[in-house]
Amino acid sequence: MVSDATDPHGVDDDRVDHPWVFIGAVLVEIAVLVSLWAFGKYFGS
Amino acid sequence: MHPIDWLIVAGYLLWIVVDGLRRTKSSREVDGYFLANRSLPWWAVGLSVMATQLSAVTLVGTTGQGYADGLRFVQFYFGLPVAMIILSFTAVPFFYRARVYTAYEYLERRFDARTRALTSILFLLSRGLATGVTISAPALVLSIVLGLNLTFTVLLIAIPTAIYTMFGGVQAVAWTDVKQMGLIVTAVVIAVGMLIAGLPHEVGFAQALHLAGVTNRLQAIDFTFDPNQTYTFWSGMIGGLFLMLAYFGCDQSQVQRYLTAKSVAEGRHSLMMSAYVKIPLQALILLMGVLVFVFYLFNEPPMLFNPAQLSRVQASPRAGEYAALQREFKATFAARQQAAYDEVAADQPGNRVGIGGARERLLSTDSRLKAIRGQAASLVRAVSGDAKYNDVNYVFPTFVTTHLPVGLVGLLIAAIIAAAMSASSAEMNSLATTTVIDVYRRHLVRDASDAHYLLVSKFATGFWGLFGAGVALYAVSLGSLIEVVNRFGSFFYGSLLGVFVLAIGTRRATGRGAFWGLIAGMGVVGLVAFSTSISFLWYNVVGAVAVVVVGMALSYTERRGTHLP
Repeated sequence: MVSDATDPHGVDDDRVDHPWVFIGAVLVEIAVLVSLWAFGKYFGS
Repeated sequence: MHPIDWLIVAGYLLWIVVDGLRRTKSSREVDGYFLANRSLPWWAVGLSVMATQLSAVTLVGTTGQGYADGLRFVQFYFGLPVAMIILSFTAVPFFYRARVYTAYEYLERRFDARTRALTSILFLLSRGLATGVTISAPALVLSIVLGLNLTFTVLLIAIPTAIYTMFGGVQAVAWTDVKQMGLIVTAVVIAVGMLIAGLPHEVGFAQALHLAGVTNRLQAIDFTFDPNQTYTFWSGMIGGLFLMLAYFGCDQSQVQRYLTAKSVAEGRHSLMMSAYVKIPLQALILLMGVLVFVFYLFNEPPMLFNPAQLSRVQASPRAGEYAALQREFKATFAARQQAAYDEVAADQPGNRVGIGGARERLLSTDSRLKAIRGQAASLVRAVSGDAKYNDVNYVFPTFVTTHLPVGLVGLLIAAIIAAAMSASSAEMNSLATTTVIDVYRRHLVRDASDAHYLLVSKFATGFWGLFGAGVALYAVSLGSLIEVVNRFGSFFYGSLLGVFVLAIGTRRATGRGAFWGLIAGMGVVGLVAFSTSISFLWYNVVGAVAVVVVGMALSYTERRGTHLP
């Protein structure tokens, strides 16, 4: 994907440990945003 | 402040300095001093990343924003989790595997020396000045609220920070950050508990939230698409995303945190901690400000939260006008307090009949109080000549010093100082790294021993500590401080991000394209800033796009030129 010049020591593989950490962050953000929106709706009425 | 509170503050300072100095033995070579020999666990790096971002400006300014404007400011952080995921797959592996000390060092490998020089100088200038603001903001507030000399409060923050950062290096920064973050979160939780406990007995937590909601302080999300408004869902998601990508991906004060992690995976996980925790933590800090507002519905607040300006107005020829406003403020507060009690009573189950227009009275008296406070602030502006006078940053410290018991005041003041120290120590450390690695070792003394560079690094850290303290003494009266820092960064952050996008995201970009693209990007941001009313969060998008477009166009032209016979 990138040239050698951009990754001069690119010896590690690109394996991602614990991919659920990243998927979980997206899900948590969606949950937090929905909660904040619902919080404002519920107490603002 | 009570002697016991002073004892707590002194105990905190001693504990942190001793703890920081203990790390000196792990920092006996440049790699240990700047990168902790890449040995730190993800959770320590993650807490250090959060502590670096959460300055006293954030703690005090955000609470003030919560008091005055409710939860809306939380939208500023909406782009952060996505930014952290993107950086985990781009910046973290690239910088880590390149085995660089600074983000700008990488730019020379990818482009050329002048791009590295320009970006590192931009960082030194902007972050050096920002360190002054990081120290001056809480120092000014504490000096006024506690009635202390400003030079004393500046030195109270700057000197201990400079000492442990200078001798202990990045290890001291990271491990003291861990403890400071623990202290800050503990203090916030206790303050929220004390605010709830301080409400009248007929007002529970649910009623407090109801009152905050009625006065429009719990509307966290605004879907309006208006680039002139600073805090909306879209500015947070798009402008905030670009700002966070630039801050965590291109600013050495953050890049250096995750370069100390044990591995690429640990570096990624350290960033993901912020992705999970930052928005809820900021919402909690804002909620603390909202609860201070609810507390002051039942306890008379000062009309002006800045006692220094209050004394100035009272000693001026316009003292009579102020006294008249104060009388009206007092009467309106009593009416609002009654309306708040009535609204709580009307909201009780089984009492749905309501108490004669309580909500309307609450809203109208609250709006009137806001207008009276506005008139008092105008009076201050006229008397002091300070056109940007704004006292939101004094709200929380005033509440702490006037309504919390002995012991907790010391704890909360220590937490504010801790927030200032955690942010400024990382700044001093990263400024020293860039000074030594990108300037001194690159341009001045190229082949000295490791011991020589280590000694110069310690002097550089001390220098930036003194520089920050010096700037702090002059950087007073800057309006809402949190916005000042963010706005300051936005002038070049987006452009810096554009250069890293060219470096990491494309093979075709050349050094010439990156260098002139960066200059063009900053020019475009300057033009947009001075000729439009677009909110500063969008400058990051404008800057990054301008750099990529100009940089790529120049790179293509250059490549074509190279291949001409």
